[in-house]
Amino acid sequence: MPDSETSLIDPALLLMEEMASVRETGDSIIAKLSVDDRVLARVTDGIYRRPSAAFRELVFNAYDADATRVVITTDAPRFDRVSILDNGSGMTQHAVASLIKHIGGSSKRTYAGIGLGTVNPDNPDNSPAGRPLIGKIGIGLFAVVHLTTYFRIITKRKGDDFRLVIDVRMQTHSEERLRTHRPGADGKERFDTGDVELRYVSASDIDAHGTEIILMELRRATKDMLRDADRWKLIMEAESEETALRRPERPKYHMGYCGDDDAAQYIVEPQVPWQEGADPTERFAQLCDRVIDSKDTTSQSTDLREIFDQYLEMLWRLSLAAPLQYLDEHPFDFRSNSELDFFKLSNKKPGGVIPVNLPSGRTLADEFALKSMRQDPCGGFSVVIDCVELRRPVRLQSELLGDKKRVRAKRPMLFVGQCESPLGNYASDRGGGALEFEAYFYWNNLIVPKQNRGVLIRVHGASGALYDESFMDYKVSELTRLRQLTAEVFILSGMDPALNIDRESFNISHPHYQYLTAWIHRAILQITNHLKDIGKRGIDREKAERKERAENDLDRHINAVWEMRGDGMEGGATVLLIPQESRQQEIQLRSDGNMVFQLDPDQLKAAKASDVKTGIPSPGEQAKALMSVLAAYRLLIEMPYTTQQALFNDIIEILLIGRRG
Amino acid sequence: MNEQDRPQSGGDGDDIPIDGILPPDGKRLEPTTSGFRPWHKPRKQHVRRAWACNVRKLMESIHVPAGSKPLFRYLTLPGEDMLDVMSLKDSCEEGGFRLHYLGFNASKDESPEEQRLTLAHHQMKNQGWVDEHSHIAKERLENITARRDSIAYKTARDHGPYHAVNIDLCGNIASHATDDSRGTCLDALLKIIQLQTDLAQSNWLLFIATRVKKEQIAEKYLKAFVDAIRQNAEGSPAFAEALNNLFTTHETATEPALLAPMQLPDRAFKDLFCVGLSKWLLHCLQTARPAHGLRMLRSYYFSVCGGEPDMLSLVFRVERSESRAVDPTKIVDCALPPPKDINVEQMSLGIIKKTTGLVDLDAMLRGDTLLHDSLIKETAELLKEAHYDVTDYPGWAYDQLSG
Repeated sequence: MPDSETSLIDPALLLMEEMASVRETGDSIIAKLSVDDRVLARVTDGIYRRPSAAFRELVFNAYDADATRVVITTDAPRFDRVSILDNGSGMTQHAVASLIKHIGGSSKRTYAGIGLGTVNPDNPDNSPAGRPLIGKIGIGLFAVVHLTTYFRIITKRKGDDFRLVIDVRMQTHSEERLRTHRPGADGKERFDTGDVELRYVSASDIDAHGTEIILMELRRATKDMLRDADRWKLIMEAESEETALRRPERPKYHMGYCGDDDAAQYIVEPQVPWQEGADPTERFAQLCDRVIDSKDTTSQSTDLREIFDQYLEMLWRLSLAAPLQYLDEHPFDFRSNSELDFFKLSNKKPGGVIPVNLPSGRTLADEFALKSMRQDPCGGFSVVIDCVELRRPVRLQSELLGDKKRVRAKRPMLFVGQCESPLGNYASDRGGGALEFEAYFYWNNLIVPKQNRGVLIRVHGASGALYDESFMDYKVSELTRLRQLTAEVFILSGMDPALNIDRESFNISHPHYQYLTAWIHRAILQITNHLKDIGKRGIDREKAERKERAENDLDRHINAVWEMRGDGMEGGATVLLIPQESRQQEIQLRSDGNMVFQLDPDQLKAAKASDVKTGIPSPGEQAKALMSVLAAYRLLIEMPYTTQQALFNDIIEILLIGRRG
Repeated sequence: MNEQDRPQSGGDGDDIPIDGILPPDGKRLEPTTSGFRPWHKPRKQHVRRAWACNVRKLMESIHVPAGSKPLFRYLTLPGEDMLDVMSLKDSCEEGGFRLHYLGFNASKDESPEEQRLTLAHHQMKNQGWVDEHSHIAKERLENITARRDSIAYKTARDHGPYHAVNIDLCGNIASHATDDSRGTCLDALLKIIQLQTDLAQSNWLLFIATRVKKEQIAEKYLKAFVDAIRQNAEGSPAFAEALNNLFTTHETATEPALLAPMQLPDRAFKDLFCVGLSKWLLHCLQTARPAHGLRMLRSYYFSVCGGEPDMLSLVFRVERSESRAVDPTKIVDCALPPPKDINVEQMSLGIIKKTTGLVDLDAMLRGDTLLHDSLIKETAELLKEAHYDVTDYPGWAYDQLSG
C-alpha cells in the first residue's frame, strides 16, 4: 500500500483501491485509522462523561442511517461485551474507506455525503430516506472509545453480495504523539488514531442491510460503572460491618452484581422492575410504573439514582435521549377528554396564558397546527436493549401526584407554545439562521421522577443534554413552582449550530440559544403568574365560601330556635342594621315587620367586618342573631324600642371588644 | 502487555493496579481458518435433518393463538458456524415460526472461532425467520449448574422455556467435571430439565449428541445408569425380557452386562449407555409435577474417527402429562375423556426398541449413494453460507466416508 502520508491522492481512495483488490481473494487489509485534524485526533479519544453517551451516539448513528430498529445486547451483569445491531442502510465501501481515513470528515450534512450514501441527494441535511440528520461531524461512532478501544463493525448494504467486517483498535490519545507529528508531503496533517483490519465476507442474503457494532474487551472503568461496582462494594462492606454508621441503601431494582469478570454466579441476585416473561414493551412500561410507584409520599418524588442501579438508570437516560415514540401518547395528541387543563402560551409581551377549550375529537396538534409530530419517513424507530423496548418515559398524568390539600389547582395543566423567531430574517452569519420550535410545559404538584424536572430540548427528536432543572438558568426565585414543571421543546429548525459537539451542552452565546432562553423564561413567567393567579383566586373563593357557610349555619340555627320557641312565624323576624339618623327609614322598615337597629358609622363598619380566615360571622351578624333569638324567647315583648336599641348597643360593644384599631 | 511496551523503570504510585486502567494491548488478529472439520461430514447433516424434521413435527402440535407471531425457542450449543441453527430455516419458514435461540459458546475473544461465531450470529439475526433477540452467551453449559444464582442459569431462564434443547457435545455427557468449581454436563442437563418442567406448557424436544467412550464416563454416572436399568428390569418382566433380547444381540445377557459394564464390547456398551442414560432421564422426568415422560425417537450412532462406533446422536420428545379437567359426576354428556397418565412402562419399552433400532449412520451412507450425495450437496450449501470455499468439499466428504 502506498504511504498515505506522502501521497497527493485522497487516502480514502487509495484504501478503496486496495479493498477492491482483496475482495476477490478473501484476504484482509491492515490499515491505519486516521484523522485530518489535530483537534479531531483529540476528539476521537473521547469527550463524553458517561457510558450511556456511547450507546446514545450509536443509536443516533443508526437513526441517521434510516434504521427502524436497533437491538442492543449486553452480557449483563458482566458487561464484557456489547452489540448494537441496526437494520439501517449499512455503509458503502466508500463510506467505510472515508470513515477510516477521514474520521470526522463531515460526510453528513455535506454534498460529499451524497457520494457516500449517507445523506439525501436533494437535501444533505437529511438522511437518504428524508429524516433530519442528528449527527453532523461523523464522530458519533468514536464515542465507543469510552467503552472500549477494540470494536468490530459488520455492515451490509441492500443488494450487496458481501459484508464488510472491520476490526478497529483505537490508540490512547497522547499530546506527545501530536507534538512530534510532521505534516505529509502535501502539507496536510493526518494523525493516526488506531489500527484497522478490514475484510469482505460473502453474503447470500442479498436483501439484508444494516450494521452491527460489537464492542469487545470493555474497559475496566466502564464495566465497573455499568455494574455499579463502587456502590455494591460500599453496600456490601457496610452490610458486613455491624457497627457501620452509614449504611448505603441497596437500589430497589437492579440487574444484580457478580463482581469479577469471570464470575459464574451472582453475588447479588437481580431484582428487575418487570415481570418474568413480560414482552419487551411491557417490560419498559412496568419499569416506568415502578418509578411512579416508588415515590415515598405525596411530597417526595422518586430519585432514579436511589431506586435504580446505573444500568437501569442508563436505560432511562437513553430512552429520553433517543427519537422514540412516547410510552403513552404524544402530549400534542391530547384531546379534550384528557382531563388536563390546557393553555396557550403567548409570544407577545406582556401576554398571559390563554385557556384552551378543545372541541371534541380535536387534538392540540390539530388545534394549533403543530408540526413537530410529523410522520417519520422510514415508518418509525425503536430501540430494544436486552429485551426491553425503550419508549420516551414521559407520562403526563391526569391526576395530581402530590398532596392535593396543599394546592389550589384541581388538576394538572399543560401549556402549549409555538414560535418562529425573527432570526431567520437576518444574515445567517449574524443570526445563525432560522429558528422555529414548539413546546409544552406540564405542571403537576409533583413531577415524578426528579430527573424529569426541567426543560429538555429536542433537536431533530433527539436530546443529549436531557432535562435542565434550572430552566436555562432562570433567575427568578420560583423554587417550588419550577420543581413542579417538566417541559420539552421541539426544535423544528435551527438550534443545531448552538449544539456543542458532545451534544450534551449548548454554546450559550449563540443567538439561537439566547433567543430560546428568553422565550422559555417568558413562558415560565406566564405560567408562574397563572399559577399565582390560581392561588389568589383560590384563596378569595375559599374565603367567600367559608363566610357563606357560617352565615348559612347561623340562619339555620335561628330558624330552628324560632320553630321551637317562636310564635309560629316561620323564620322569625328579620333583623336589620341601619346608619344612625335614618329615622324615616327606621319607621318604614319597622312598619314592614322588621327589627331595626341603628349604629354610628364607625360601629357599623366594625360590626360588618368578618374574620376572613376562620369564616366566623361579623359582630353585626352575631348581634342580629342574638336579638333574633331573644325575640324568639319572647324576651323583647313589651320592651320599648329605645331599650331594645340600648340592649343591642351593649351586645355589639361586647362583641367589638378587641376588634377596633 | 508486549515486552517492548513494558516500561524500563517503574514510576511512583506502584500500588495502583495498572492493568485495569490500560486498555488491552493491540495484538494483531489471527487470520481465520477455513479447513473442514469433523462436523462438516455428510453424516452430521443427516443428524441435522433429523433435528429439523422433528422440530417441524413438533411445530404442528403447538397451539398458536390466532393473530400471534409464534416463536420457536431453541437452546443450543452452537459451533462457530451455527450450522445447527442455520439448518432449521426451512422448518421455521414452513411452520410459520420465528426462531429464538439461546446458544452457549465460551470461545475466547479474538480467537478465529469467536470471530466466525460473531459473524454467524450477526447473519442469523438478520434473517427474517430468526428473532432479533436471539442470544449467544459466552458461557460454558456447565456454568448453569452453579446454584440457583448462576448467571448462566438466569440467562437460560430469561430466554426459556424452550421447544427444543440441543445438547450437541464432542465429549461424553456423563464425564467428570473439568474442574472442581464447575458441575458436569449431566448436572447442567438436569438443571435444564428442571427449568423446562417448571416453565414449559407443552411437549418439547431433547437432542443429545454424546461420545460413549468408556474411559470418559464418570463412575458415579455409570452406576446411576445401571441402577436405573436394573430397577426397571426388576419391576417389569416385559422390560427385563426386552433388555435381555437387546444384550443377546451382543452375545451377552443382562446380568453380566449390568455387573461388569466396563467389560462389555464397545457396541454393547454403547447400547447399555443409551438405555441407561434414557432411563435415568425418564426417572428424573417422572418426578416432576405434573409428571413428564420421555419418548425416544429414531436415533443414530457413528464412529468419530473410524473404528468402533463411539458417538450417539439421540432424539427424544419430552411429554407433559395431560392436565385436562374432567367431570367426576359424569353429568355432562359431551365431556372429554379423562387425561391419560404417562405410561412409563410403554416408554421404557420404547427406549429398548429404539436402542435396538439405532441407525449406524456410517453404514447407512456407505450403502446409499443417493442419500450420501444429497447430504454432500446440502452440507456444501450450508458451508457456503458460512463462508467456506466449498470447491474441494465433495472430494473431502467422499474421503471421509471411505476413511
